[in-house]
Amino acid sequence: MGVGKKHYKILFMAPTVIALLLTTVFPLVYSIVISLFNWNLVKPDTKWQFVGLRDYINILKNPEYISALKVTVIYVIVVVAVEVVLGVLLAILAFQKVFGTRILRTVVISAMVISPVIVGTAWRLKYNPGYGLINYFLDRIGIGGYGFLADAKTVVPAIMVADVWVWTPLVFLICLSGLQSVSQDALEAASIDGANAVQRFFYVTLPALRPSIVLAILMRTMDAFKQYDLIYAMTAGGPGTASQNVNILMYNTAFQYFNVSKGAAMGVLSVILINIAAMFLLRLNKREAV
Amino acid sequence: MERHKKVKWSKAVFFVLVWTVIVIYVLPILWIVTTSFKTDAEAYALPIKWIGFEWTTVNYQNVFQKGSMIHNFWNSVFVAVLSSLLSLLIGVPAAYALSRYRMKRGEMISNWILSTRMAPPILCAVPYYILSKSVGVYDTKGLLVLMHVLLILSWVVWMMRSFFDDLPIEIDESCLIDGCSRFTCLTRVILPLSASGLGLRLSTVSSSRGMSISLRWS
Repeated sequence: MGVGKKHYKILFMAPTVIALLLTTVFPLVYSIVISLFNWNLVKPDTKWQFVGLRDYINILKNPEYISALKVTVIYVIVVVAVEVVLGVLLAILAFQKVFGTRILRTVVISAMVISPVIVGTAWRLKYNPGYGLINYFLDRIGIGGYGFLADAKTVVPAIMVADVWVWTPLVFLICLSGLQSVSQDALEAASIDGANAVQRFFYVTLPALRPSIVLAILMRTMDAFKQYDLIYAMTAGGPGTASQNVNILMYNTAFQYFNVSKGAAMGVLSVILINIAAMFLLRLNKREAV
Repeated sequence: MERHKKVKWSKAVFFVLVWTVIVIYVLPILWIVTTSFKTDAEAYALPIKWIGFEWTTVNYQNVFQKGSMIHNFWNSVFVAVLSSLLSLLIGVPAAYALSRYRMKRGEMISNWILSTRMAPPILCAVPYYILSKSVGVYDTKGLLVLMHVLLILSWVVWMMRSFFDDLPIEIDESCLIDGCSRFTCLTRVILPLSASGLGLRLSTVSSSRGMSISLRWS
């Protein structure tokens, strides 16, 4: 018994804590610091010129950032809402005793493990007005081919559809494991007491699914806010800036226009926004649980 | 009698719904796969030919003969496997500790670990880009592996912790009484029991993290 009980605890935790300090605290502090300076990769001499909050003020005044933020927020709200509703319904569907539910689970979950870049590319091809799969079916029912990704009005909904296709399976997976813990006795008791299927769903199944749904909302909100790969592969923010969200703008600012400080400032703003959203969601969950 | 009919009717609806969803998920994948076996002319042809076209492997031959594909593919596999193994090596003990020890700040630490997923990966890109340039490891496989490890670590900890939570604590207690240290208890007893979880973890990481932010730098 050379190593005490307490030492094991520290030994086990240390690698993860150190690694995460390196990945989160270091970049965050670093970003905050460089966002206060005037650092542009093509102008090395102004690197340590202190400009304070100038970048933040410029960003918030910049209509391009505001429009990107609008795209992001709408995207997050719509995508998360649709995915959670569909995910829950799908999970319940998968629990019915009908032929095909086993195949359903396998097929749906397999969509989630495809790399986002491949999914994005595949969807870009599907939307192609000439030979894409979607326009093919639209053509069949009488609506001609349409370049959804080339029209500023339809590009964001088109990307949302792709996002829903890829990420509903995650909600589905989380709810599936949640449904397994729904007590069959309670459902039976409710139906003996005269509750119909809708009432059973709202008063027995849904409350039991609460923790899973909250987890799904939390994860999807965080990830949808960070959405980058999919949009980049489908439109890279275009046409114009119609589908440009804050992440794509941030990437372009830092690595296309080499304005590292401004990019970092945008990153810090995003972190603040995501944290507010997450705190709000967690608070909501706690209050309702009481 | 009435009720029986109703049940049958709802079954039919469920059946249709289930198969609609299956089609929605299978069709696009099928389309991509079949298109990859078509010649250019047939790929653009309308109406879409699902089976009745001339199968050709010419696209695959092109891809492999260009040479960079195999190199890129090998890079992806190398990075995915190595980073998965490393992140498990780092994350599993922490997950075990969070699951088994009653820690004063246990919940706080695990929430903090979850919260690290909130930062946009691009936020990390700027500092690491600059750091790796100045240290001179920019555009190397080692850096890529390291980035992946750091990005997926919080996932590993949370996933493995839920697996460990499902294993009864009595197993630990009995092997501690039998004279194991905490470490041998983890490696000899708990890990073999949660092997399925590890497998799942590995497979999802290696497939879904095929490409991520750090890859785009190089």
